[in-house]
Amino acid sequence: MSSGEGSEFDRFLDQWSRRDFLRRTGGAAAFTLFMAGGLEAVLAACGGTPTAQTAQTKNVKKGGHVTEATTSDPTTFFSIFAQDTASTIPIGMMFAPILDVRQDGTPIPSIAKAVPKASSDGLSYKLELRNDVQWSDGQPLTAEDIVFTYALRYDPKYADVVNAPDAPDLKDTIQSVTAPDKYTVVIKLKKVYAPFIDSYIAGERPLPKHLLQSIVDAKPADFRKADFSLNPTVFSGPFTLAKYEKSQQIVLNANAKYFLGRPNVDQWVIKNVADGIAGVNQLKTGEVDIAAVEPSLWDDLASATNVRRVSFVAPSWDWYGYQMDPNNPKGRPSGKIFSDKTVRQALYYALDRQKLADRVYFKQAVPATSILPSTSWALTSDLPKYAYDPKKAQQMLDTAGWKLGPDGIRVKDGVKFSFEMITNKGNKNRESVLQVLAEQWKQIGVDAQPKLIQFSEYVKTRQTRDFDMVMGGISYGVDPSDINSQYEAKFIGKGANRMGYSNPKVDELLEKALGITEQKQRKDIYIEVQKLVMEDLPVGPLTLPKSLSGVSKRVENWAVGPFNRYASRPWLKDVFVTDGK
Amino acid sequence: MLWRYLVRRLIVAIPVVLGVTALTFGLMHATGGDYVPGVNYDNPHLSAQAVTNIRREYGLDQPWYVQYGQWLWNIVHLDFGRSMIDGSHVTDHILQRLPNTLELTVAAIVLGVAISIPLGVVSALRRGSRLDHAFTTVSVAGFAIPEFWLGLLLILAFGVYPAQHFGGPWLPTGGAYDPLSGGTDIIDRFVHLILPSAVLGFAYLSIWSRFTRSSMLEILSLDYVRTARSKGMREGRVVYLHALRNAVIPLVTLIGLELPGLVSGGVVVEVVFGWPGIGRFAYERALAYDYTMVMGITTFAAMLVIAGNLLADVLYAVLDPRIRYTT
Repeated sequence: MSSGEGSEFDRFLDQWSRRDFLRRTGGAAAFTLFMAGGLEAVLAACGGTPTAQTAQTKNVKKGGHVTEATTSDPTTFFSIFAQDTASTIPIGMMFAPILDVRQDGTPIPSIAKAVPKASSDGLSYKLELRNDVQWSDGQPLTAEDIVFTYALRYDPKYADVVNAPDAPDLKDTIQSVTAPDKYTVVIKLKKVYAPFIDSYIAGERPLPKHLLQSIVDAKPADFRKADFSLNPTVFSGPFTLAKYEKSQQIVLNANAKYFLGRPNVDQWVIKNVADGIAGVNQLKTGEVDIAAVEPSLWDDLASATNVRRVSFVAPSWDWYGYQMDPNNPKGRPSGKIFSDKTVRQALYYALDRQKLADRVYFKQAVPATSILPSTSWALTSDLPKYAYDPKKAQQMLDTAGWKLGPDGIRVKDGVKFSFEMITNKGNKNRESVLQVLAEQWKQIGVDAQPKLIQFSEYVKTRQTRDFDMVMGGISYGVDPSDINSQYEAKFIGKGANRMGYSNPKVDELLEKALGITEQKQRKDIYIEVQKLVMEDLPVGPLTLPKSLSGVSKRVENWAVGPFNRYASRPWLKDVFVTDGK
Repeated sequence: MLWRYLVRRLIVAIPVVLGVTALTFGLMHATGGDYVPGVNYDNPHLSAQAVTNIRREYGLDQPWYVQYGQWLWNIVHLDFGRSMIDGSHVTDHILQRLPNTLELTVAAIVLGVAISIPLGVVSALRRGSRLDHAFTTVSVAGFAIPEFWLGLLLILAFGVYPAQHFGGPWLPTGGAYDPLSGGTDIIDRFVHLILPSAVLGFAYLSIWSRFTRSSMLEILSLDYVRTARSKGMREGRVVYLHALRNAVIPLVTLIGLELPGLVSGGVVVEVVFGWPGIGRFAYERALAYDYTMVMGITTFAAMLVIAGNLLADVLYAVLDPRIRYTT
C-alpha cells in the first residue's frame, strides 16, 4: 500500500517535526489570519479574549461530549518531556499553565494572576499566583509545585539525570527559582534572555510536587518512565483523565474543580483514527467532531453537510537550503557553486512560489516572503522581493559565468550545473515540492535531481552536511529568536544551520536581540537581520502551508488559531455541543 | 511420540527466532544510524548535550554487539524492555493490542471458512454452471481487489454516504468499539467488527473457496466416492460426510499458513479502519525507529508463527489418521 505508507509517514513526521510551539509565544500581535469559506465561528483577530466574544453571542448548552481525531498515541503526559502534539494536546487539557496564550501568541494570566514584567536589569521575574487553584485530589497548587517543576530542569541535582529536552537550555539560563511565600514565585536568570516569558513561563505546566517529589528522588533517571507518565492521577486543568486505551482513545472528564470554571461538555474523547483519510471520513459520518484535513481532501470536504472547515496560515513553512560552504566537510563541489550569492539569488528568482503553493498544497498555502513566518510580529515587508522572473534568473547566471551548454545544461569552467536535492522519503508534500523545483530550474538550464532519503539520514545532515541542497519544513513560535539556530555561524554542524551560513553581522545582531527585553528595539534588529539574510539567501523560503481542519457543526466556540491550536487552548472550557449529546 | 516430536520442533525453532532477532536488529541499526527516536531534531532549542544524554540513557552509545547482547540477555529473562518512545513496557503494549488483532483475524478466518467451504463445494458439484462462473468471478475479484480500496469503498457505502443522505452511518467505520462504551457492550463491538472483518475475510474467502473447489473435484472422482454412491448412500451424505472431510485436509495447511496473520493482522485493514491491533502498531513504531518495540514485536511474532505452523501440523494428524509423527 504505497499511498498508505506515504500518509502514515507524513503523519509521523508532521507530529515530530512540528513542535508545539505554543509555549513559546510572545509580543504584540501582528499576524495574518486566513479563513476559508464556510467558517461561521468567529476567529477573533488580535486583542480581546476570543472565547469571551463568542460565548456571549451564543446559547450555551451544557453536557454531551466532543470527539477529536488524532493519528497517533501520546508518548507521555509529563509536560516537561512532551514534544509531539499527540501528547501536548491532552496534557494541555489536564494540566493548567502558569500563563496561557491567545491565538495571536500573547500571554494571558492563568495560574499566575498577571503576566509578569522583567525587573529593570532584565534578570528576574516575579509571579503572583492565584490562591484558588487546586489539584483534583483537593491539594492546593502552590508556588512549591512551580519551584519543583523548574528544578527538574535547571537544578544540577536533577537536570542531567531527569534529562528533559530543554534542560540544557534552562541550566544555562536560570540562576534560581524560589518561593518567598505560598503564592509567590521569583525566578532569577543568569543572563538577560528576551524570550524567557514566551519560552519558559507561558505554557509552563506545574507538576504535582506532593506526588512526584518522592518518585524523582528515589531514582531521577527513571522519572521519565514513572507510572504518572501515562497514567497521571491528579490534574489541574479543565479535564481529568478517565482512561487511555492504547491505539484507541483518550477519554477525559470535565474537571469540576477547575479554577476557571467547569467546562461546558462532560467528556472529551481524543480518538486515534490511524490516518488522515480515516479522520475525514469519520468527520463525514459524525464519528468524530474535529479532525485535521490534508490539503488534497480540502475541496472534497466542502460537500459534507455536517462539517465546517477551518483554515489559517500556521507559523510553519517549507524551505530549501544551499550547500554554501566551499570548504564543506564532505568536499562537495556544490559548495563552490552555491557560495556565489548571484547564483543563489538567480535560482530563487526562477521559482514560481505561487504555483508551488497551488500545485503541491492544492491552493492551501501562501508563498513565503521572508525567513520569518507571516504570523511573526517581527516580519517586515521591506525586503528584497524576488518576484518570479526566469529571464532575470537566466541573465544573472550568464553574468555569473554559467553559460548554456549544448545539452541545455549550464556549464562553467568545465563544471556542469547539476546537483542533488534531498528530502526525507515518505513525506508526499516534500516529494512533490522537489519535483516542482526540478521542473522550474530545468527551464533556466539547471539540472536539479530529487533524491529521497530515510528520515534518520535526513536528520543527520545537520551534523554531516552531506548534501548539495536540502529541502524541509520547520515550525516557529512567536518569538523570532527561533531563527538563531538556523542562521548563526556557531550552529554550523550543530543546530539547523546545515548550509554553513556565516555572516558576522547577522551573528552579532541575533545575539544582541536576545539580550534586550524591549520589543520595539528587538523588532528593529530582526528587521535588519531579515534584510541581511534575504539578501544573502542561504535558504529559499518557499511556502507557508495552512493549518486545515474540519469541525462538526454541532460544536460551537471552537476558537482555534495559529498559536493556540495544541496545548494552549484557553477557550476549551467554553466549547459546547448544540445537541447536548 | 507426539511429545518427542513437539520438543524436537521447539528446539529447532530456537535458531530461527535468534536469526529473526539478529536480522531485525541489524536492519533497524543499519537504517536508523545515529538517529535517536523520540528526539525532535527540528526543535531550535535542542542542544547536543540533550541528545547525548538521551543516547546514554537508552544505551545507544554502546557498540552494537553490547546492545544486542544486552537485549538477548534480557529476553532470556523474559524482559522485552521498554519502548524508546513512551517508556512503557513492550509486553504491555503487545498484550493490550493482541486481543483486538485476534478478534479481527479470528472473525475474518471464521467468516472466510464459513463461506468459502460451501461456496467451493457448490462450485465443484455444479462445475461449469453459471453459478460456478459467478463464484469464480467473486473469488478472482477477492484476490485482485486491494484491501485498502475495498475498505474505503465499504466505508463510503455504509458510513459516509448514508451519513450524508440518510441522517447517520449504517455501520461504524473506525475503531473496535464506541469510545465511551468502554468495550463491554457485545453488540457495539460486533457492529464495529462487521466492515473490517468482511474486508479481511473476503481476501481469505477467495483463495480458500477456489482451493476447496479443486480439492473437492479431485476427491469426487475417486473410487471410494463412487463406491459410496453405488451402495445407495444419499448424495448429501456422500458429499458432506465422506468427500468433504478429505477435501478440507489440505485447506487446514492453508489456514495454518494464515496463522502468522493472527499477529500481523491485516496491517492495511487495521490502518483503514483505525483498528487498535498489533499490525498497525508495529508499522507505526517501525517508522518511528522504536528499536525495542520493533524487536519485541518481531520476536513475539516469530514465536507465534512457529507455534502456528506446529498447530497446523498437529491438526493435520487429527484430521488424517494416515499421518504419523516420526522423530
